Amino acid sequence: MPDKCYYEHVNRNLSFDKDTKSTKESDIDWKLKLCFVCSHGGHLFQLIKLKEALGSIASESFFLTYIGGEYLLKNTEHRRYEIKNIGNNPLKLIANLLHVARIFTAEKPDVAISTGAEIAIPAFILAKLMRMTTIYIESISSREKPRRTGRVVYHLSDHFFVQSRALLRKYGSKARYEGTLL
Amino acid sequence: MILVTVGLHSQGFTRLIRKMDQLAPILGELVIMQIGSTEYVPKNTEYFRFTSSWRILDLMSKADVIVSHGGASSIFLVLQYGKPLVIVPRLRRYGEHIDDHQIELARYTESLGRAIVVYDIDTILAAIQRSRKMHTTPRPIEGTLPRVIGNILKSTKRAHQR
Repeated sequence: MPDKCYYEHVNRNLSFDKDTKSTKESDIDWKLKLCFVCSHGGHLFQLIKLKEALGSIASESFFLTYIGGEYLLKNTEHRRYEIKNIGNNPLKLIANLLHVARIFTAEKPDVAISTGAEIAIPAFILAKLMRMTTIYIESISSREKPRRTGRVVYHLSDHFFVQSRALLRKYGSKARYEGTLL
Repeated sequence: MILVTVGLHSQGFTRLIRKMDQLAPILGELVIMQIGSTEYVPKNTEYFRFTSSWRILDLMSKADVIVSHGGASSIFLVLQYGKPLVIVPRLRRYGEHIDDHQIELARYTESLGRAIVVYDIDTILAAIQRSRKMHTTPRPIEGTLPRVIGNILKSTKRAHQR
């Protein structure tokens, strides 16, 4: 069955480094709340794969994406919020700040993780104001040229990854290459 | 069967859908197209606009050749099956996307020997025939980055607790 093998690939990344021997009981009870924020299409596909690979680390989490992301998220157990597409319009970006602020104050996540695109800008601005940890992963589609969102969000990211070695020198020294999400 | 897929993007991809519709009678095999937001409606092929991920995976597993736009999810889903793949990147100048970024991933996939990229839509028939001779192995989705992110989250957790 093709569908079965698709899910098997997903589950293969579940084991992580065994440096958790010092785990206290409180570590097990206390969960980080993660916000996966991205536009729809390929950006969302990559973040869903990341969430699935993270397993129990991501059990307290929700997605924040554009309307249109429902084809990848409906009928799944992933919780989601949808906001309107920003595209290239800076005014819509400001309007979205308010939406995102409302969601963040209600959910109070600890970490924001994004694969782009521009939806990451309002989300990371607020995340920094709310002292959340921010992790940005440049989309796997970016192979050669840095994207505008990446350039902006670089300054708002605690951890910044690219998925192409060629992109490393195009951003600052904070950028890391550790392979791909897919 | 040839599967044509243009993903979930909100702009249409008439250039590809119209061409494949014209070629369908010449190809002499079943063509199924996922046309997304494309306004042009095919006359010679089966088509639908959007569907669930499991149905698109099912179609990919049954297809002999897959013709895809340059979107990341479409490309990596196809690579899982090791099927002949022809990529037509969406281009800004035809109103198919907001920029030309799809060329980068398409070119990269081609450099791995896993796809043939079509820039001039009139060359697509030759590309489809050429792709059938490609020998690609299935490439599972198992990147190394999730593990690194997982470790960051673990240390983040400890930092928050202190």
